[in-house]
Amino acid sequence: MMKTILLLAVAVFVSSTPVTTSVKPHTDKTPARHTDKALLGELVDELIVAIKDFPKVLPKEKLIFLKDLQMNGLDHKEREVLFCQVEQELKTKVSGLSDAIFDHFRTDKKLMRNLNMYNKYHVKTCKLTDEKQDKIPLHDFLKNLLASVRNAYSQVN
Amino acid sequence: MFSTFKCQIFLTLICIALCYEPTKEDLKCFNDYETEMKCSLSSKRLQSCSGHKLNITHPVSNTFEKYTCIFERNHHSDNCECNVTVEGFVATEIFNTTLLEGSNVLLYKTFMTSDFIKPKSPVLSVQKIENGNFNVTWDDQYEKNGIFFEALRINLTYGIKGGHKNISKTVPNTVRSYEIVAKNLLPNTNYILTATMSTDYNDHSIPSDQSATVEFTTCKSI
Repeated sequence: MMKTILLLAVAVFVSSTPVTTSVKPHTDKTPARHTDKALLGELVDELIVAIKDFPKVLPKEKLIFLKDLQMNGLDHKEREVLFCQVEQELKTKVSGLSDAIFDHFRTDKKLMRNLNMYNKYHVKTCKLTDEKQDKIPLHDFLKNLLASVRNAYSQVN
Repeated sequence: MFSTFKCQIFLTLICIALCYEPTKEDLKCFNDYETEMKCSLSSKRLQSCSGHKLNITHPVSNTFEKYTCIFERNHHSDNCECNVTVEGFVATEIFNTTLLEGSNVLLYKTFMTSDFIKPKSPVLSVQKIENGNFNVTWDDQYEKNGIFFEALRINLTYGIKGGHKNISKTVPNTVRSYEIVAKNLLPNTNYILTATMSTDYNDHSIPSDQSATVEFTTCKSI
C-alpha cells in the first residue's frame, strides 16, 4: 500500500513541477549587431516624429531648456556615454511634464523605451554633466540628438 | 505481490496520463511588432482550453505592464489561442509569461520581442500590364513607415494552378512591386501566386502566415 502511495506521489510531484524555460536565453551582454541597428533605427524614426510634432513656437511657460551636450565629433565610446546622459536629461526634465506636447518623451513611449534599451546594453549609468552648463531649447536638443543617432545608426547599418 | 506491483504501475501511468504537463514547445507566442501578441497552446493531452490562461509581465523602463491572456479553442487549428494588445513593441524588451490552469502554475516562459516577431500576412494584387507582363503589388498591412517597414521582405511563390513546380522570389518590402515576365510562362495557362513576409529583426526566422492566393492567366500567345 505504501509503495503504491509513494509511486503515485512521485508521479504527481514530477508531473506538477512547473517547467521554466526561456526562448533564446537573453543576457545583458552586448546584443547582436542587428539589435543595435533596430534600436538605433527605431530611435531615428521616433525622433523624426517627435521633432515634427513638437511646436516650433511655444509660450514662455512651456519653454524647456536642456544641457547643451556635446553631440558631434564623438567616437563610439563617447557617443554611448552621451546617449546615457541624454536619457537622464530627458527623464529628469521632460518625461514627467503633463502637457500633451511632451507625450513622446514619456518613459512608456517608444522613443524613451528604445533609448532605455540601447543604454541597458551599452552604458547603464553615467556621470552627469555640470548643471551650470549652457542650455538650449528642447527642439534644438532633439535636432542635435537626431544627427548623432543617425551617425551611430550609419555605423551599424 | 506481482498483481500489486502491476497495480502500482497502472496507477502511476494513469496519473502521468491525466496530469497535463505542457512542454515549452506546446506554448508559442508571436507578435506583429505593431500592437498584437498572440499565443497558442497545443497538446494532444489538453482536453479543454477552459481555465487556462497566461499571465504576462512586460518590464517597460522602470515599471511593469501586466496582461492576462485567456485561452479559447480555435476550431480551425484545434489549438487553444489568446491574444493581447500591447502599447507598441521595442526590439529587445522581454515578456515573461506564466501559464496557469486555474491557480496552478504549469509553465514559465520568457520571450524577447525581436525573437518572436511574426509579421502580418501581405495582401497581394496582380495586374496585367501593357507589355504583357504581370505586375505584382502588395499591402504589408502596416500603418507606419520606418526602419521596421524597411527590414521586411516579401517571399513570392507562383506556379501553374494544380501543378507541382513553383518559382520563388524574395524582394525587399520597400521595392513595393515585382514584375513577372510573361515570356517565361506558358501561354493560355492559369497561375496562382502566394506570399509570406519576414523580418531582418530576427534574421527572417519566422515567416508570416501565407497570404490569400491570387490567380492570373497568361494570353493565348506570348
